Amino acid sequence: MKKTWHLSIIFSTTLLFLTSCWDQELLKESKLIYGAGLDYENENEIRTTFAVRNLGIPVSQGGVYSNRILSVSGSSPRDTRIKVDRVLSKQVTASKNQLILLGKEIARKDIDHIFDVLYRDPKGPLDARVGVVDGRAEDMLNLDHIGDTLITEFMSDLIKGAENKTEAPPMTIEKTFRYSKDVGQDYALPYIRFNEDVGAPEINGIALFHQSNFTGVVLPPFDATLLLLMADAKSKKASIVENIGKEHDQGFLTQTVTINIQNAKSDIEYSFQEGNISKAVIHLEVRGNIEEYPQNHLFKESQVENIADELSKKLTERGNNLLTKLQEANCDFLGIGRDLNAYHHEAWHPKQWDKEFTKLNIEAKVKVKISETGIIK
Amino acid sequence: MRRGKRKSIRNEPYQIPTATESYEAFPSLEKNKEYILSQFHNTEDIKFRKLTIENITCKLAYLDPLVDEDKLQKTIMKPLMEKNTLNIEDTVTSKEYRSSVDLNEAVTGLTKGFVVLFIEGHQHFYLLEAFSANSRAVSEPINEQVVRGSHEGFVENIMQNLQMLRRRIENPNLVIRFFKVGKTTDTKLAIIYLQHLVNPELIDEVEKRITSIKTDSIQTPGYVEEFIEDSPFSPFPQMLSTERPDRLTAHIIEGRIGLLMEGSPSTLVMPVTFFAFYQSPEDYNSRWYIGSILRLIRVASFIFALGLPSLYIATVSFHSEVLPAELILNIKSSLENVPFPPLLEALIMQIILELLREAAIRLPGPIAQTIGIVGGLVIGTAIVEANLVSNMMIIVVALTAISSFAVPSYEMSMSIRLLGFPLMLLSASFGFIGLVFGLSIILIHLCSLETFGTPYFSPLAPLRLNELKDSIVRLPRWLLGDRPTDVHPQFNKQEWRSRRWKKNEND
Repeated sequence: MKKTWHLSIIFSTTLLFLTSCWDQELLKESKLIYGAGLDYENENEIRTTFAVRNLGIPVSQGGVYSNRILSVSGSSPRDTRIKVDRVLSKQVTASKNQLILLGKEIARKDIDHIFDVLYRDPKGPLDARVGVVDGRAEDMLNLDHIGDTLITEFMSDLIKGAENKTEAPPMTIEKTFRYSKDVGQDYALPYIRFNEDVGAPEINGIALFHQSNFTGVVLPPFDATLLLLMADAKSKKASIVENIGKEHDQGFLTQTVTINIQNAKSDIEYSFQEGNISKAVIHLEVRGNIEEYPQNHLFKESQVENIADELSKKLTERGNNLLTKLQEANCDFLGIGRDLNAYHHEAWHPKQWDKEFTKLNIEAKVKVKISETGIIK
Repeated sequence: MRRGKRKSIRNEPYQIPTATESYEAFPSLEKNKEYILSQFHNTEDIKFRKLTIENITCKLAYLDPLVDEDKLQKTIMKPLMEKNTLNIEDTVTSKEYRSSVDLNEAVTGLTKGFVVLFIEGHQHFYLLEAFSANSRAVSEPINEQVVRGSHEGFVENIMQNLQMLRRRIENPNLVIRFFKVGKTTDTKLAIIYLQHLVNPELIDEVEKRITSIKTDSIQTPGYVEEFIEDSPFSPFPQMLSTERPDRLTAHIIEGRIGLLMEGSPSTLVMPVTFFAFYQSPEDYNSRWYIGSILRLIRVASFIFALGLPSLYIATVSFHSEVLPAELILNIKSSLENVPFPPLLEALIMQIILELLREAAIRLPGPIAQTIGIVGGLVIGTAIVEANLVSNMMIIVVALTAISSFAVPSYEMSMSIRLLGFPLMLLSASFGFIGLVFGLSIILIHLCSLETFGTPYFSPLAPLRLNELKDSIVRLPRWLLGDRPTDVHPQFNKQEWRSRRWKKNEND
């Protein structure tokens, strides 16, 4: 007993002298990267734009946060980070990076090579949001701030907002890694474009990826919502605005109906021929309430049913167009390959799936049900 | 070198002659007086009063400060003088009466507030009780206040304290055993327990440990605690100290033993478990879910007080990536211009806090408030504005202090706060790993600690799910059918379906 006490006293006093020569990484000695943009520079070089958070005066004493935007080119992302550390005081830490923007050009190259730096570091920001920029990521980050909001916060909130509205899939660095290694499943990243009219960036749909390359095909936000519903990935809210044509037109702004989707159920039915998949039919059933229908109060049940039928028809049409686009891009967003692997393994040929998917006969069948028409009758 | 025996003989304490040897009394009054005076080294507070009964000279001797004047007049002097007879036994109305020929017994009697009556020509003398039982009024103990419930607190007088307990447990099975401890002070100790309930081995153990105390003086129960506790090097208190009769009663009824001491209002309960320090008599007075939530808050306060500063230090010096992006900015911006490492920051704040607390206790009430304001507000604001300590650290340290004060036992609250320091060192050197190791060591220690043969961390280790009902939470009384088994009471049942009327109603 006595011996252990002596030992522990000696041990804890020596500890006092060990502090600070240990692998400490003091928070106050670090510089936080809050956003990064990656662009194609030339055949052998990459340009990385860092948004580094400045914290001169503490907020409690009236200071405000600001970003310092630095752009560096180098032979790899790690190279650029080392270079940026040379021009910054304190130690650069990327562990709290919230946003990674990819220039359109670089996204068409292999993004696995670019993200390698993030996957190896145990403190890497695996929950950062990823977006593809129409143009160069550098230009986007150079906006510095939109209104009072810093660009890094603005962008990551923009993407999160789109995710909540089922306009973009919730994709983080970690998920990108998982899907890019998966033969039977592809993914899409939010596509951000600078809107000249508003003078601010906007979500302009989703960029379809095949394995680790951007295919160049971008789905507009409305199609993105429908696609996500087909993939059973409805988020908190999903709205669909549909033009239901001339015969309903009874005046100014009366061509459309908007429904708010309450729940959606999607089911893929496969048919096979000689051990190969021949057809996939996607049955999507959505239940929603009418959020907007300016021309009528909808007293009658039959009227509501008519609208539902018409909507089903329009959405089926849109769905089929969308699936064609997917096949053109060779982006198996719905994970049909993975389904085959799991449930119909004899029809799963991983090596030929790239070719099989583009030739596959895929059809969408959308059925709309309307449960509510509003509070005032 | 041989170890062991040699010391024990040499260190035998100096024997102060008490009533150990007898000394026969003289028939002469003067000689007796002389002897007593010499035994008391001519102290000036000893008084002699001459009386004449049946024409024989008698002498009353007493120690003035110890004797109640009223009692002396009414029960001894008045009857003696009025009846004028030497039949002392029938005359004196004093509540305790003894006759003896041993003068040393007279000397001890005098120190205990007896009046000695010598009669000229007789070798016999009489010891008559006239003890002054003055003590301060019963008031609520200031460090264990409750909102609802008894506001009675122990006082310095052991008899009055025992009276409070007797009143609360009116049962012949309530046994009190007295011990005299301390060669010089001859302090009265008492242990109190329920004979039919408490584990007999436990009584033997406690008696054995108390009787083996050989010391010059015992001044506070803390002395006894240190002499009889199992692990004197453990940071955790192993006996519960309380000044509340209701708290002590509750523990006695669970089959534990209470220890009282003359001259001290605080009493000790043994053996206790860790969770006893987190229980307050108030819990049983409020509705059971309120009591439960209060207890959960207290247990949470244990974790906060123990680990919050070290968790913060480990986070900002090693693992800042665990902080959410929104929070990290606030923390980082407050840290930015602080020149010290987080450990030093925390130590500065903790030491300032302990200083303030210590200063406030010593000072009288109104000045203590000033210290609170100067310390808490002025130093707190100034130290942040001077960039010596960050805002976050002030919040963390303040939270720690508040949590540690939420513990109903003062000793436990201090122990926890002090245990925080080694944890801070560990987390400043090794980060989360150090913190986890430190906490594990504390947990291992808690699990292995035993007091009087009962597990300290019961009912968590050993795990007794049934007893968790009255430790971390407090379920309604009618669900607590059994007593805690950690003390091995002689019977377990403590409640016999008190709500059976509910069933009868429906019949």
